[in-house]
Amino acid sequence: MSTAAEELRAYLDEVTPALHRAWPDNRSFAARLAWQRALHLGGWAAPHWPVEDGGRGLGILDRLACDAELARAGAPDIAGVFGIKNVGPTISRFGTPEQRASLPRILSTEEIWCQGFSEPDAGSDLASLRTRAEPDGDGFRINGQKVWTSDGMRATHCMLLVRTDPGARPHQGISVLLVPLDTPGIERRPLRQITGDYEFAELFFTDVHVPADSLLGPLNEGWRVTMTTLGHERAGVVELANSLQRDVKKAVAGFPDGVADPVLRQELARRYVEARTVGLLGRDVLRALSAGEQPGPAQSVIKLGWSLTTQRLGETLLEAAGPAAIAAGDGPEVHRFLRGRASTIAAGTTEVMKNILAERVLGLPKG
Amino acid sequence: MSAVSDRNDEHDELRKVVRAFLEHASPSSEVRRLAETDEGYDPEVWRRLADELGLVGLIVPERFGGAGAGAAELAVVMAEMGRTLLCAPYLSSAVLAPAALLESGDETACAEFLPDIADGSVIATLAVAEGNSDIRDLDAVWTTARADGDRHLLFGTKERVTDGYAAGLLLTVARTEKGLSLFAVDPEAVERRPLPALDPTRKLARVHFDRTPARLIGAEGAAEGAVARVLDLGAVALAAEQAGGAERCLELSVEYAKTREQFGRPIGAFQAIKHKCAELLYEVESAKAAAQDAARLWSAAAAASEQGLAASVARAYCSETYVHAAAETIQIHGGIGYTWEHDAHLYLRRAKSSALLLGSTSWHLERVAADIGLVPTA
Amino acid sequence: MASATVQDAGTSPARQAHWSVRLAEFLDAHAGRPPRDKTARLAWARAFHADLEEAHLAAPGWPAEAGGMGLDLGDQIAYHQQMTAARAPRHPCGLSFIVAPTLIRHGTPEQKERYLRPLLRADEFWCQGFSEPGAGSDLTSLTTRAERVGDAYVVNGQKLWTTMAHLADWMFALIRTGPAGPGGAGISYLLISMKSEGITVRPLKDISGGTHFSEVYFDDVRVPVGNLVGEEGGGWAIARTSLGHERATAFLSDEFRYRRVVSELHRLAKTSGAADDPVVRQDLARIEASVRVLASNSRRALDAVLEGRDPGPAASVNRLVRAEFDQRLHEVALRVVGPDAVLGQREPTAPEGGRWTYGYLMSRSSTIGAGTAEIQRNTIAEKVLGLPSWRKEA
Repeated sequence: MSTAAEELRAYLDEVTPALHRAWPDNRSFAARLAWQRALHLGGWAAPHWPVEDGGRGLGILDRLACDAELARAGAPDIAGVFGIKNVGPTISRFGTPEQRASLPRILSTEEIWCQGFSEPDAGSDLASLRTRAEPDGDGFRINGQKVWTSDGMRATHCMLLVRTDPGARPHQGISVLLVPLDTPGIERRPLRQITGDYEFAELFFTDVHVPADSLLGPLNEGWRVTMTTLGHERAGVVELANSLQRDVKKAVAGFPDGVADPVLRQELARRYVEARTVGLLGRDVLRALSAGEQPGPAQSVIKLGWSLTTQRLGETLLEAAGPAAIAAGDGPEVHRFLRGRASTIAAGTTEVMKNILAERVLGLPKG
Repeated sequence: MSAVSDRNDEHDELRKVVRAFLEHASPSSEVRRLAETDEGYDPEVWRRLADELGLVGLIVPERFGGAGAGAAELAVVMAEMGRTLLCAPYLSSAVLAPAALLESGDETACAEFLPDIADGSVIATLAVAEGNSDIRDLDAVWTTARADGDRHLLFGTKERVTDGYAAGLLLTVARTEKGLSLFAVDPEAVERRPLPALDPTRKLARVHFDRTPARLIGAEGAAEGAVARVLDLGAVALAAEQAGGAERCLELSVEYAKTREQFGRPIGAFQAIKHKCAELLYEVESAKAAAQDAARLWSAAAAASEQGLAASVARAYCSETYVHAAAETIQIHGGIGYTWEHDAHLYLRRAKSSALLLGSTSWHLERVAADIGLVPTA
Repeated sequence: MASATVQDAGTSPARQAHWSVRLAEFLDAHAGRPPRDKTARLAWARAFHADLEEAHLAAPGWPAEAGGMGLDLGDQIAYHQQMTAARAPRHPCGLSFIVAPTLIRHGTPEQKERYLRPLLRADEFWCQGFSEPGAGSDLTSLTTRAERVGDAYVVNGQKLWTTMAHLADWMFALIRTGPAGPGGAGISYLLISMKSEGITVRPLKDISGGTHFSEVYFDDVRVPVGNLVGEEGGGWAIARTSLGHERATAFLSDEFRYRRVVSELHRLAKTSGAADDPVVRQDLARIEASVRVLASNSRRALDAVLEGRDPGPAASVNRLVRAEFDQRLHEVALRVVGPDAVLGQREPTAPEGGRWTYGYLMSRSSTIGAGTAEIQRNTIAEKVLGLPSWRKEA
C-alpha cells in the first residue's frame, strides 16, 4: 500500500466512526457534505489536486489506492463531485488568479459546482449546442436551456458551455463560462427521473448577464478547455472498473445463505465474472499508466463494459430479491434496477460509445 | 489491489516469436490439410516447436528437460496457437499430460516420461471423460483398475480423448477400492478409434480398455484432487487459446467490414456492423484480460482457491466470447462466411467444441457461484 | 391441361371423396421411413411428389387452372398439418415455389403449360439466380447482363449463392437488360435452361461440408425471348410475386416442422437426463415459449387474412423471428446433447446421428440467406415502423 493511502487510512480510522454514527444512511446529500468537510479538514478532499491548489499532488496509483481506502471505510461519494473531478482541475489549468479563488471553496463545500453541458437537442452530440452568449457591454448575455444537469438543484455555480460564435463549425465557436447560479435570469427546475429521485435539473437562461471575467480559458476554445479535463478520465475509468467490482462483491455478500435457484445463481455468477473482468481491464490500464505506457483498447472498452454490466446487475438483483422487492416501494433493488437504465445513456449512450470504439479503435469508416 | 507486473517484455518477445513461426507453419492451407488426417498434426512442425522454439516442454521443469516456464508464458503461446487454429497435440502433450505427471508427485514417473514429452519425441495425453458426461464430473468415472501383480489391469471406455489416436503415451484415471488413481498405459495395448468431430482441427478419440495393463502413477486413490487441478490448468490454457481465437475473429471481421461494399459504401460504415464489432472488441479485450489473469495467478502460485476461481471465470467468459465472436464473424461476412472455403466456420467449430471440452460453461459458472458463496450449504 | 384433368376426374367416385380423406389414404399408402442414403432419399421424395401430383393432391393453395387444389385458407392449414403429422417428405425443391407464383401471375399460357406440372411433380428442379458477387444484400446493383440478339437474349456474367444449381434443370434469374435506375429498373426476369451451352456451375461447399449452393457462370448463353417473363425491364417488380396466402401458409408448414423439432428436443432432454438440470430446463422452456409465440403470431396474421384485413406487422417480423429462433433452438439443443455434441455426423455413436450439431452449423445461415438479419431489421424499421431511411442521408 502506498504511504499516502496508509496516511489516509489512519485519518479515516480516526474520523469515520463518528461520521457513521451521525449519518447512518450516508447516501443523503447532507451526509456527503459532512464527509467532504471531514475529509477536507484532513487535507483529503482532493488528494490528487496539485499542492498549490490545496491537494497533495498524488499520482494516479496513489489516488486509486486512496479511492480504495475510502471505499473500504464506507465513504459516500463526495458532495461536490463535479467541482472536484472536473471543474477544479479545469480552473486550475485555465483559470485567472481571481477564478482560482474558487479552488479552496470547492474543497471546503462552500461552492458546489454543476456542469451545464447537455441540452434538449444536444444529448449524445454536444456539437449541436445551442445556448448562446452574445457580447453585452463589458460581459456576455446568455440565452438558452440546459438539461440533465447533475446536481443542478444543489449547485451554487455552473461551468457552462455556450456558443459564442454561431458562424463557426460545430465543435468550434464554443466557450466556457463560470456562472454563479444566483445570477438574475436563471431559472432552475428539478427534473424527476424514473427512480422518482431528483438528481438532475433543467436550467433556463433568459438574458442572463455575466461579466467578461466569467470566461474560462480562451474565447471560442471551450471544446478544448473542457476536453482537457478528460485527461483525468483514465483515472476515472480505472475507478469505474474498481467500483463495479466492489458493487458486485457487495451484492454477492447480500446473499449470505447463497441462492437456491441454480438459474439465478448462475446469472449472478455471470455478473461476477463480467464485473471481475472489467476490473481486470482497469488493472491493465493502471499497470500501463504506472509503467508510463499508453494503455491499449482496454481503456476504451471499460465504460461500455461498466454500462452493460451495471444494467444487467440491476436486472439480476431485482430478480434474485424475489417478489417482495416489487412491493417494497422504492426499495434498493427497485431503485438499482431503474437507475440501471441510465448507465447505458448517461455520459454517452452505448450506441455512441460503440460508434466511437468502432471508428477510433477498430478504424471502421464513418457512417 | 496489488501492483502488477505480468505483462513484460519477455512475453511480448515470446508472442512475436511464436506468431512469426505459426504464420508460416500453420497457414489456413495446412490447417485444412491436417484436419483431414487422423493424427491431426505435422510431425515436422511438432519437432520444430519442440527443438527450435522449446515450446513443447514449456511447463516441464528444467530438471526434466523442459523450459520450466509458468502458466503466464503458456497462455501467451496458447493464444497464438488459437489465432491460427494450429493443428497439433499441444493441449494434450504440453499441458494436460505433463501437468498430470507433475501433480502426481511421482518423481520416478516424471523422470522417466517427462524428458521424452518435453523434447517432443513422445506425444502424451490424458483420458478422463466417460459416456456423455462432463469431463469435470469425476464421479462419472467408472473405468476400474484391478491389481495384477506389480501392475494393474484396466476396464472401461474413455471418450473424447484429445489426441488419443496420435498419442504414444496415455495417462488415464481409473477407480480402485481406494478411489480415483492415475495410470499410464501403452496405447498400443488398447483399442482406440479416431472420432469424426465437430472441430476437425483438434483430434478426439475413443479409447477402450479391456484387461489393459497399466502402471500406477503416484499414490493409489490420490488422483481426484490432482486431476481437478490438471483440468483447471487445462482450462486456463484453453481459455487463453479461446481468447486468441476470438481476437483473430474480430480482426477478420474488421478487415472485411472495411473493404466489402454494399449499397455504395463499406459495410463497416453501417451502425449495425459497427456495433457488432464494438461489442466484440469489449468482449475480446475482457476475454484476454480474464485469461491472462488466470494464467498470472497460476504462475504466481496464488492460493489454490483463487486459482480455481480464476480458471472458471476465464473459461466461462472466454467460451461464450469465442462462440459469439465466431458466429458474428460468419454473420458479418454474410454468404462468404458461410462457405467451406472461408475460415470462419473453422473458428466456429473450434469455438463451440472448445466450449464443450474441459468443463461446460454451466459447470464453470456453478464453480464460480460456489467459490463466491452463492451455493447454499444445506 | 392439369385443370381439365381435375374436372374430368370429378366423375370418378374415388375422386369425389373429401380431399382430406383422399390425402389420408394417400399418406397411408405412401407411409414409410425415408431412406438413409442421400441419393435414394431424394429419389424417394421426387417419387412421392410425382404421385401426389398424379393424385391431384399437390399445391393446395394454387388455383385449379394452374394444377392446384384451390383450397381455401382454412383447408390449406389443415392440409399442411396433415402432411407434417404424417412426416411426408417436403417438396425436394423449395425454390420451385418461388418461381411458380410469378409464372402463374405473369407467365404466358405457353409458359404455364410448359413449366408448372413438371415443377409440381419435382420432375424438374429450379434454382434462383438473384445474388451476385457484388450484389448480396443489395440486389439492385446486379451486373449479369443480357443483350437481345435476334430472337434470343445473350447472357454474360456470374451468379453466386445459387442454391441447388448443380441439381437444377432451370434457373429463374434477374438479369440486367437495360441501364440501372430507381426501383430496379433495367432488370428482366428470364427462365434459363441449366443445360444451355455456356453455363458453368461450380459448387461451393458450405460450413457443414455439404454442397448446397454454387457459383454459376454465363458465357454467351442464349436464352430464347419466349423465356422472358413479364415485360423486358420489368423483372424487379414481379420477382417477389406471392400467390394469395401462400407465404402465410408456407410459414405455417415451417412452424409445424419447428413444433415437431422442439418436441423431439424435449424427448431427447427427457431421455438423456438433461432436463434434470434446471438451467437447461428453463432454456427449453424459453424455446417452447418461442415456438408457441411464433405459432400464435402466424395464427394472428392468418386470422387477419381470413377476415380480409391486412396481416400487419406480425407477418413482417415473422421471418426475422424465425431465423433467430432457429439459431437459439440449436444453441440450446447442443446444451441438451451435452459433451457429445463435439462429435461429427459421421460418428455413428453421435447422439441422434449428430443431427443437432449439424443443425447448429446450418442454422448460422438462417440470419444470412435471403436477406441478412441486419437488412431485415432495416426493412422492418423503415417499412413497418416508418423510421426514416438511411439511404436518404447518403
